[in-house]
Amino acid sequence: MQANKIRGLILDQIVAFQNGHLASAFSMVEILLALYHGILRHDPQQPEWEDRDRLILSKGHGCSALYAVLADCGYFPLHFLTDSQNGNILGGHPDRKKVPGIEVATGSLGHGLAIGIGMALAAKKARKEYRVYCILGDGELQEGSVWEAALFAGYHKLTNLTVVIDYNRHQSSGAVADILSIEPLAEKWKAFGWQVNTVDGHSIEELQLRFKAIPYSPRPQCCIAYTQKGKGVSFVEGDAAFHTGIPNAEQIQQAKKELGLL
Amino acid sequence: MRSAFANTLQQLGSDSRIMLLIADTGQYVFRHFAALYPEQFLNIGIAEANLIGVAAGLAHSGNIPFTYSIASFYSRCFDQIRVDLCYNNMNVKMVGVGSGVAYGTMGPTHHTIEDIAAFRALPNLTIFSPCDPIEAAQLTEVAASLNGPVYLRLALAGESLIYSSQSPIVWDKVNTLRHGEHATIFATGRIITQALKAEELLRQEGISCTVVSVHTLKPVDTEGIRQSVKNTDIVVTVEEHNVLGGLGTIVAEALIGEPIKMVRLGLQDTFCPVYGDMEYVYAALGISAHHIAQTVRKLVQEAS
Repeated sequence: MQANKIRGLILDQIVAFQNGHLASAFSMVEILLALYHGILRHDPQQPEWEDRDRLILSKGHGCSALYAVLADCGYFPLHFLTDSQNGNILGGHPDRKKVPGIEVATGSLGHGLAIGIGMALAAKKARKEYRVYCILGDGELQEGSVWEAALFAGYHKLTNLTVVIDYNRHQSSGAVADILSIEPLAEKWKAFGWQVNTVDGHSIEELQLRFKAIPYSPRPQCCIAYTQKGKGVSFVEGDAAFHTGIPNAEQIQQAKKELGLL
Repeated sequence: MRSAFANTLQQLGSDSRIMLLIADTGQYVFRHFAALYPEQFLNIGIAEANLIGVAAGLAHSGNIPFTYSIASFYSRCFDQIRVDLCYNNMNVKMVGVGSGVAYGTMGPTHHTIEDIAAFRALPNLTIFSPCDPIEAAQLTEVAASLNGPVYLRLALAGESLIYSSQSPIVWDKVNTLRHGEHATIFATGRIITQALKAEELLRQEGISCTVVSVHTLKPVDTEGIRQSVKNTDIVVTVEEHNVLGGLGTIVAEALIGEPIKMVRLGLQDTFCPVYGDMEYVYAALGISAHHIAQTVRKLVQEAS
């Protein structure tokens, strides 16, 4: 299964680097696969292709998932994922000047959507057809700058902009609902002028059905993808310690077994 | 300076990559630009973090956005400036109006006394601080031509003209306005008028001063600053900014190792304690022509 193969690459990477956000990366694997294999117009041989669709990973700490998907697509060699980080182009948060396929450096939460709006406006100004996709974390929605941007995009009816929320219900110190609830979430985005869909964030088929319907909407799209933090490995799912935790040798074996990779 | 910027930008606007994004200040000032180039103008609303992020996204696809805000309000979106513009090295030009204490009676919420210190620590950023409308116009053109983020620190309106010709400066070199022997006064921004008045007062007393406009605060023209003190060991800096991290610090850093006596005039790590017009505020802060002259006079007397 493609998604678990990617999870294996993420696991190898985080173990090799001895840092990263495993659970946050695992929750959005299907979202990335749905986009990179069938939705985004992109060319790994020409990362700067003018008419490509743009993807911004606003939750930059989940970048090991994006690295794995980009390497798997051929943007850079797979061995970068497990080489030493000394001198590697792959850091704990993505850098557009180092990594082919990374549109913009992120890592400080709440920045990506505004940048996505700028890209969407640039497309309209240049009469270009490309779309902009922006993946936000759920905890990230506690940042006020997200709502400045959401208000703007809704009011200006940026139809070429799609937000995907990786709603894994956990943030660094625990459950989003226990720290600062973001509900009612769909109603918030609707009130800000967005077309809202909810979707099973681990179903590539369902995600792609939603994304394919998007170009016909008169409003920007918000796709709330319900996901499981740490999806695929029982001891990582929903364990706050694995926000930045690194599995030990025994856990690596168990994880690979559960992912069907052994 | 505001009008000089607006007029220059209007000329630059014939290049469709040039854009102007405002955060609901300056709508009237830029009405002609907005009418001429509606696709290149956008009022983002009162949302400075969004202003910077959107500008970064527009620059990502080859546009050259100028953002315009009251200078002090950029402090609320420092992280967007740091990451979206500087780390990503986006071709965005931030214009801050009313810098220093130009909004005198509006009080410290609208003064900008820390921007130089904060912004000069950001890699990739170029910082301009023109002293009059002519420098402002020339540096606006330079900002548009450079590839990378720029901060243009403007005063407001009604500044005296220091220059009579167009394009009088070399953008990355300090500009010497008066040549003297006894002391060198460095100033940045509109307060250069006070330095020039002080120079006049002192000249009548037989003390001659070099007066230098440091219009480009980053990259620093270290060599130019060192050349400017060749004839003297007395240095005074004048700025509408906290002396911590501003022009005084920049000049001191450039002169490390030089045997000089130096005094930094500016806000002495305090918010402006008074309301008032320019002359009144300068006097209260100890940065008027009178104070500059007094400072130089004392240093010259001590040295002789």
